[in-house]
Amino acid sequence: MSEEDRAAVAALSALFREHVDVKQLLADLEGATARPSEWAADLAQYPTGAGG
Amino acid sequence: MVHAPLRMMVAGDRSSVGKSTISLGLLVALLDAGFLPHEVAYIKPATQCVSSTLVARFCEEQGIACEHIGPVVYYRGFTRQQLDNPSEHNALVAQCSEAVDRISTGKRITVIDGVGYPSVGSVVGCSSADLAVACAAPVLLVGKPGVGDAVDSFNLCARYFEAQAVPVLGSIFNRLSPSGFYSLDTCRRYLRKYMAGSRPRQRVYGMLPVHETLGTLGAEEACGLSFERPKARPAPPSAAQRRPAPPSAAHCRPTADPCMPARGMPAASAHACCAVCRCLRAPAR
Repeated sequence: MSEEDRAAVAALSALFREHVDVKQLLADLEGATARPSEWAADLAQYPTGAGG
Repeated sequence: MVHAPLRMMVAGDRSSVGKSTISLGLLVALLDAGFLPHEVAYIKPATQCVSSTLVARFCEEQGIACEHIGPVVYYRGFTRQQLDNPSEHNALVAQCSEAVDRISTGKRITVIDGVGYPSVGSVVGCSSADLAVACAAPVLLVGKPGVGDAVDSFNLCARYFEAQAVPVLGSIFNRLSPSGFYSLDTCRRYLRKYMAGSRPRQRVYGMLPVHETLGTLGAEEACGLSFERPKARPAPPSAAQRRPAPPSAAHCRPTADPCMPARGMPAASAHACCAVCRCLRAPAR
């Protein structure tokens, strides 16, 4: 990596430490991986009956 | 503490929204959180770009397993070629899924970098949602600055994944302004208010401000579009060919991890591909 690369990685690292909740993201990822059905969206569906 | 092997797809509403930047940030954050490099993997299974990227260089230096080009490359004319040969259609998702399986073996977590917006690749049956399904990867969306537009874009993307029952975790919103009508603080307040009221399952995991150093990343990560079909991959080496190379054949810089498998590279690529083994490392000087 170049010096510019290292500066970008350092800046990104600092931004993530300050602004991103990685711990919560990992916890949710673990939950969604183990129980994906709990994350299914509850979307309204187009009526399928005859005549609506 | 994470126990089960995890996969996560990073997706967004368009190219250059910051998917690769967020993917890199996640890799850095994982190392900061105590993950060891050999426990982490990064892959961009379908891509429009064939250039070297910062995330690939970071992975190589850190010894993180990485495959940043392909196996599916949307070179110019790819769609027409696929539509002319529909039998290859279903193979694309399988190729990507196999690549993800391969690179994820023995890892605690694999970051899967999405391509373009969620339906990119759908024309050939290989959208990001198709890949998320095939790879069993929940999705993190990279969001844009703003409030209404940011939520609308989030929902457009999220619904596309949710139509295939892919879990959408939430979002990291990128490139927020520190002040003004769309200031980071204002956007954070309203985006969290929206999620809490209308999408209680999804979270706003972070809001990243614009940053001068990262401003150049967009240009640096600019897509090096391939204008011809990448050459076919070389056949897997035989057992005899897999013998360690003699010292005199040290044609590549040493690397901590053989993370970038040999594959055909288009002539238009700006990457300095090693001419001897055709790996993606820079040739030795």
